Amino acid sequence: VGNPFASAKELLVLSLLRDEPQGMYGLEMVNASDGRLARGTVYVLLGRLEDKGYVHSRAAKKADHPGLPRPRYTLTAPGRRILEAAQMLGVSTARA
Amino acid sequence: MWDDMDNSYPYEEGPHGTLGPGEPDPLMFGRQVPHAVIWYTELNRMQSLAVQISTGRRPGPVTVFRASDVKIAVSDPSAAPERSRIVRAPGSRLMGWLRFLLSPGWYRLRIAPTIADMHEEYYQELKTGHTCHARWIAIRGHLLVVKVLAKGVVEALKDLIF
Repeated sequence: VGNPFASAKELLVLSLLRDEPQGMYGLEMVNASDGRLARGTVYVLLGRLEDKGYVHSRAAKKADHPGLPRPRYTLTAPGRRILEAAQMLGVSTARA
Repeated sequence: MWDDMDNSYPYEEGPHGTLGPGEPDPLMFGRQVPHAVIWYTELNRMQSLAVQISTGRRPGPVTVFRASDVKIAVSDPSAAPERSRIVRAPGSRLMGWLRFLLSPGWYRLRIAPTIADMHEEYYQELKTGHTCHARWIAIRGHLLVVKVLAKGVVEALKDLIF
């Protein structure tokens, strides 16, 4: 799993997901981050967070177009705990 | 159910409904009689296709069908467009190679969502008729996949060294 601690950008993703209980798409996170997350890196971050068990993704069985369905990400209980711990310790989530 | 941006020629539902085993290969059938009838059946993800129909040399409106649609038939062949082109979904070949080369987890968590976003935006642009922007999205999507791969290599090297 690698380093269990979350980086500032990972904490930013977790804080975005905490505010959206129904989950978010990757591109929605990019748009909501005011330029702090990039399209090319958001899935690397989300993949790492999913490896650590902090987020969970679920893709619809079929997209409403001929391509692949997009996964929707939600925060898991360990993700919520690591975010709360980071905030208690005063770690910046890189979010204004 | 199918989604179209071109209402300039008549169409009707095919008489046979869903294609079953033993019936003509939809893709082959579409190629053999490209202007009269376009059949679709449930194709796998790699074969998900968009059908771009244009008239003459001038690029026409783009029609996007779901892969599961099987009920498309042009009722009046003389009114059908002169040229049809079947196009793979952008990134299909790349997906095939990367699925072969990368681990399933890495592919599922990092590459597939990047390509899914590209598809989402690409088909949205096609639906609104912005073909040039759709092409740009396809190019940008490929570059993003390369960027994700590069990031992954750096990540793997970091894990290896530290």
